[in-house]
Amino acid sequence: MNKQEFIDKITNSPLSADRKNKILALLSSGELTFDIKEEIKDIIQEDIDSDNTSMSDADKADIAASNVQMETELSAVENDLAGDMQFVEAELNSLEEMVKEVDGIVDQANIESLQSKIQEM
Amino acid sequence: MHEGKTEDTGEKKIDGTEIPAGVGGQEDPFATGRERMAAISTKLNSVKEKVSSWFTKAGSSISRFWNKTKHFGGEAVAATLSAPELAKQADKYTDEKAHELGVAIGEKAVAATEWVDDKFDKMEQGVEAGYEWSKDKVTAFGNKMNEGRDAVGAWADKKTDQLNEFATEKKELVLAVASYAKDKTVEKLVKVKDGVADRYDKVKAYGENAYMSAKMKVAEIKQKYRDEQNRKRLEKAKADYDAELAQTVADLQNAEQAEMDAKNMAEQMKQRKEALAAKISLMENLSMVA
Repeated sequence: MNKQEFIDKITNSPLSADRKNKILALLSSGELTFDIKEEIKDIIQEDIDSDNTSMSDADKADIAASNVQMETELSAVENDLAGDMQFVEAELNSLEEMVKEVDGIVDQANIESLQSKIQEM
Repeated sequence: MHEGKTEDTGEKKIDGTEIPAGVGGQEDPFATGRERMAAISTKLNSVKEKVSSWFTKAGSSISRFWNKTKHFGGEAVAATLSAPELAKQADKYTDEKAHELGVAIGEKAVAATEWVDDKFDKMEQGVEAGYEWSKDKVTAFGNKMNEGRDAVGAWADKKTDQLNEFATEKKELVLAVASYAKDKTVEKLVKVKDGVADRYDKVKAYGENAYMSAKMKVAEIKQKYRDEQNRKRLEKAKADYDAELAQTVADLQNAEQAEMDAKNMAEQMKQRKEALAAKISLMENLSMVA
């Protein structure tokens, strides 16, 4: 299915007009990237979730519990990412420290070169 | 828990492009990651600039070193650039000034050696600590791979290799810095520069991969729950429809039966009426019989 065919499907879908417009705006914003696709999925799901007319209280409670579980899993990913970012920062700090030290050694080499020059005078 | 976009404000992706505001309706779990990546990029650029300044800064001393090499007729730059060698050269001078200078340089050479040893020990400890951390991470990612998440597992496999390389290469870079600090040769400075540039690229790639992997994992988790919840919704909708259809059929069947009953009743009444009329007629007919 190409992009135009998908646009036609969205246009003719039972989604709410507001959500259709949001999706069409995303589709026309440029390349259909991973991020854009995820946003479109979120909008479609939002539309599905908005219709709870035939849902019993037990069904709603089931979905709410499922959402809590999902949030827990998403938090675990976020924590993992935070750990990775900390690692990257620590590595960069270490690299920066190393660069400063080498910088100091280069300075020292210049001083020694100058001293050597003085000796030759 | 998650910071993210609101209905009113847009935001920029890591590549700087604008994300349309007010779409999705979901909180963005990557806002924090994006901010950190942006901060890291700034830091990375600062490291890169610093490294590229080394050779500009060392330019004058490098040319002097080369002249000195020619003067001594030596082949190795290292031999003429080390602090102990400078001290040895200084000792050749007999005047008081040169002698004082030689002492000063000699002391500096000892201090430099101690500094390198101390630095190396500290850095090596840091590498060991980093390696322990890496092993934990490798185990954690190995476990995730075992959970059968193919996409994430593929990256986790790459990540494992990267972490192992990180530990080894950090050690090599520390040794290269220590070696340069001792000899101060152009070749060793080039080696340090290449090592730093390589590490810079790898750290950057690691951060980007971690970010992308997290995005994939989040998409995967969301899809898993969407599928599960939508399957339940569909089952519920189908059950509701089936129940309604059954009731309609039942109502129709009942209506049909009622119609039949009514027809039968009417037929029976008609027959009774006709029978009655016939009987009455029989009696009338009988009265006419002579």
